[in-house]
Amino acid sequence: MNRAQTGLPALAIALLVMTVFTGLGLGIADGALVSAERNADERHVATSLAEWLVAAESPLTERANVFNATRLARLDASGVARSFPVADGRSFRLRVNESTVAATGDVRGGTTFRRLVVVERQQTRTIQPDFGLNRAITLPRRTTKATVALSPPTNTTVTAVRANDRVLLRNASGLSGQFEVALSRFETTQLRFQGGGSLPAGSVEITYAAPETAKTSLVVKVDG
Amino acid sequence: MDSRAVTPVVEKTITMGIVVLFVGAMTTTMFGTAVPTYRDAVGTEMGERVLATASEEIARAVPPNTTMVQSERTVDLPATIRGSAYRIRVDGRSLVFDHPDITTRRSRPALPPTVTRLSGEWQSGANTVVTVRSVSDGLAVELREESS
Repeated sequence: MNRAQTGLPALAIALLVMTVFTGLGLGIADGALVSAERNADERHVATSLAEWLVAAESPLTERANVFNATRLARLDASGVARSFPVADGRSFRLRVNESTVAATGDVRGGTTFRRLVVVERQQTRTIQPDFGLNRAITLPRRTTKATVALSPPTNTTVTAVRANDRVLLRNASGLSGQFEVALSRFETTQLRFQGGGSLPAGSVEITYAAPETAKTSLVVKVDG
Repeated sequence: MDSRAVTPVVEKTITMGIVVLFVGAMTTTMFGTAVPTYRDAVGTEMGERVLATASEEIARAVPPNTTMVQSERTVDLPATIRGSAYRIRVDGRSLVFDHPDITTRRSRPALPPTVTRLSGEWQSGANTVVTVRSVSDGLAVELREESS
């Protein structure tokens, strides 16, 4: 009885090894399944929200991918849910330039989506140019309007103001006072003052509103 | 030691018994717990992704601001998930994923406000198509099945 069952321990070891390997296989399969799991719906909401926020039709943008800083500052969570129905009923947090713009509830984990965006700010500037020989000054690009205040000295007459080659203001007997001029945003404008006599610094004052842009990142986090 | 001639028979019998028991236990654990658990997990995950894909495809089918739209887009969806057919139907502005064995899920496609109507239904396995058309007050998005 004792001698002949020597095959049994070998069988037991074989079965044990097989069980161990089956368990390992199941463990690997489990790991693969867990690592492949992601919240597809959350991801879908995060990507579409980020896409719609920076779209050209978005109420927050000036053009595609360019935020208007004033409108962005006025934004809150209910405004986001109203303008972008895809985020309605979700917990989300929008961050621009490392500061939270709009957030609902508590967002802990969730799916994060990042985009590079440009934030545009309207800046009003006043300059009193000191002209060289050509009496011209170039304004920053995308300036759409400017106020030109002319107070030339007594023996100087400014007969015309040109933007690039277009005549903006013209008076043969001399221009003086404040003028609002409209400029094209599609070209960079160079203002040129024509006339006789000298134009010392301070006799021309130009006030313009120019958009100032800064590149930053938009972080959209959606949880549940 | 009279019984020595019997021992090989006993040994073979015990071995057979043990192997049969082992295979039985293994099969029971595999098909009783592990396989159905994985099947359910993969089915749920798959359903979620299919719904998200459908949602994205529908949102992508809608063109940006234009006046006259007449567009059609074929959306490729798997014929079966977890071994059975399923439906994707519209409820309000959301899509609903209906499957006999997987819990029903909803997803909201990101549609612009110009879309005034969202309707239709997709049955898996069919040639699923999303059509966008201009109507009097905006755009109408419809989920249709096309006979190929």
